[in-house]
Amino acid sequence: MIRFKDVKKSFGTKEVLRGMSVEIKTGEVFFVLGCSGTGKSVMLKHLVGLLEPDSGEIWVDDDEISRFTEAQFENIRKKCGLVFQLPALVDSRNLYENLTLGIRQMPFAQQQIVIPKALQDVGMEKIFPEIFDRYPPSLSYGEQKRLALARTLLPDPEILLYDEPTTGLDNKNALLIHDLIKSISKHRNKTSIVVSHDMRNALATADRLAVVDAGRVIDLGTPDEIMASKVELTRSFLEDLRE
Amino acid sequence: MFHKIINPLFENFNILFRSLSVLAKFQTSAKDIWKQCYEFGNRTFGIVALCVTFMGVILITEYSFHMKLVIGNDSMIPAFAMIMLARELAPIVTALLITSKMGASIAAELAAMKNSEQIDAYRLLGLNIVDLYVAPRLIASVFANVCLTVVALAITVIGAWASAVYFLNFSTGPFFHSLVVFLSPFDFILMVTKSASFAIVIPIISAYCGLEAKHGAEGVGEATTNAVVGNSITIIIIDFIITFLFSKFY
Amino acid sequence: MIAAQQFQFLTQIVKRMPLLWRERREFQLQFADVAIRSLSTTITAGIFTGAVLALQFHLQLKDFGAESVLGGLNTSGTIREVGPILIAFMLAGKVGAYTSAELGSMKVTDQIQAVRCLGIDPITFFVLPRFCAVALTAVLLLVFGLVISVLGGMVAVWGIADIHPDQYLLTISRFASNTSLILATTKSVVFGILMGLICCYNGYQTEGGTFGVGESVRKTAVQSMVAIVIADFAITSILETVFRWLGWS
Repeated sequence: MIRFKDVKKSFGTKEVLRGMSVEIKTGEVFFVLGCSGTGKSVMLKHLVGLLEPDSGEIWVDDDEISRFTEAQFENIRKKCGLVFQLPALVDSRNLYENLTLGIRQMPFAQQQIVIPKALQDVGMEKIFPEIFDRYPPSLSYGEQKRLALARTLLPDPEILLYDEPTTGLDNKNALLIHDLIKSISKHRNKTSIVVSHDMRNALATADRLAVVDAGRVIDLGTPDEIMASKVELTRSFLEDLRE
Repeated sequence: MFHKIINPLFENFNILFRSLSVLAKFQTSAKDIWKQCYEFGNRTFGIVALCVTFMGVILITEYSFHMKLVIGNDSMIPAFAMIMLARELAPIVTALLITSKMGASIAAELAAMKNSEQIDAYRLLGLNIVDLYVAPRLIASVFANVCLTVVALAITVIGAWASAVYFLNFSTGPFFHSLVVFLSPFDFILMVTKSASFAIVIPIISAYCGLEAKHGAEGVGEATTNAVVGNSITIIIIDFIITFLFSKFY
Repeated sequence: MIAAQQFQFLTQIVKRMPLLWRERREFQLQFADVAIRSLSTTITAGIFTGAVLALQFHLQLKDFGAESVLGGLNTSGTIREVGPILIAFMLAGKVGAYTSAELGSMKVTDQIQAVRCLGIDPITFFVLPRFCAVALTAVLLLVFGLVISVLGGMVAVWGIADIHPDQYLLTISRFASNTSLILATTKSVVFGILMGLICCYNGYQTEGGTFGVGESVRKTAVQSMVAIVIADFAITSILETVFRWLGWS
């Protein structure tokens, strides 16, 4: 279970999170929607210790992580895997080294078993024979995003965080990714938090959604509840869908 | 190989001639030029002053050491050190510092503009980026660089004087006397010619690198790196050529 | 002050030095890459530096009729002082700028963050092999460049002032003493480490997207030059004092 309790975060004079409070249940697919710059990515980065909140509490299961040190985050990072908005693959290292970044201590033989499985999960099993020869720049943007997802899956984290997974992808690939998110969450029994501004796919994939504006959650509920919501911003998102 | 050297060279001269023709036709606003002069001069002055102070002190110490070794007396040191500074080190060090500071900025700015398609936007409006951007910086660079070099030289004189008087047992009178006797107009002409030449090179090459930038963050980094490197090498080669030519007439 | 932060960064790198063995493949790749890329720059810089200084010294010595000592004087002057500085300036541009651009673009594309989230220390993974590669290459290339500058000076003087290489080389042993060599080597090592540190620090601390990368390169170039000049001054002062105290010349 993940819980944000009145979290505030500013960058200089710019207030990004203004009392963010939300609870995400274990095993659910949770979408966070909102316009750009409203603090959605910032929220995710707090969970893996890339950012520290100015005030408030953040709970990951039984740990309150808002004042954790880098060393203490080691365990949290094994639990939470973040898939970045930009694929963030290491260009200077080959695909094998990229994939195994999170599982370096694993014996090679075992890696050879889990890697093809992860690649299969993201629909890229064909690339397996070439992982020692190819480098990230030789992949298409969509392929890079899927490989980045495979990389995050390999250490088998319980909680998956997706930062704008379909931004910059065409509709077909976007649908693919959303299906992946759903199937991975269900088949591998994981909690997924997805930051997105794709309302259509969110309604189709999520168990619950939150709408964020100005650093706060302004609407929360199941897809059905959201579609019937009276909140102004939610309605405007839904209106855009109709066009 | 042919492609790698001739093509860029051609492009660079293209930019140069275009800028010069724009300047000759007075199509650049004086306000732009002054602003660039201010930028060039102001932003690099501190660093140049710092570096050349140290150089002045070091050079005179080293010269003293060598002169004692070779000739046995060091009364000529101030003069010879100053000659070396004026002819070589002041122009080169100032130019290299400007390359780092302003050359890199120009390349980075143009590369970012290329990335965000600003340059194409200008083209569609019938404006050429070289006219707008490079031409004022070209003349500002020459003006600022020459001034900075002269100022730098003056600072090294002070630094050298301080060293000579406090560490090498010179007295002020003879120090300046030997300077006056040995420094000739020739040295100043050489210095100014070099500064001006380097100053012409820097905006042109930096602009070329910026405009040829590839896409993305790596492209910007590469463009900036190429600008710094390209400028440095060209400066040192031109330095040699000018020195060589002048030595024939000495 | 920036210098303090960079020094702290250096201590972090040094602390992780034993871990270099793990990233040795990356180190080898980086080393080869940097060395090959910078070889032509070093040779060019060396040749022209030596040649220009030879010319200048020649002009000055002509007044004294002391041209015969040109070989020794030029070598000594070049490798003690001007050579290390000018060649280091060139290398700071080529080597330093490139590496800080590389690290910078890795930072702005979130690669450094991503690696952290997967439980790997980014300094060990990214910075350590590059710092070692850059520093080591810089030192080696500086020394190599100085050797080339001696040769460059020799050739220039032969062509321009008709002084035969044999005569040139003779006077070297008379004037280019051990102190010159010590000075030159110390400077090469210190400049190399400084270049490695500055370019890695600026690259790693890049902020602000693609524009930030350009900023980092600029900062690296400028800071390297200033650091080199100050270090040159410090080393010269300290070593000269030591030599005088020891009675060497």
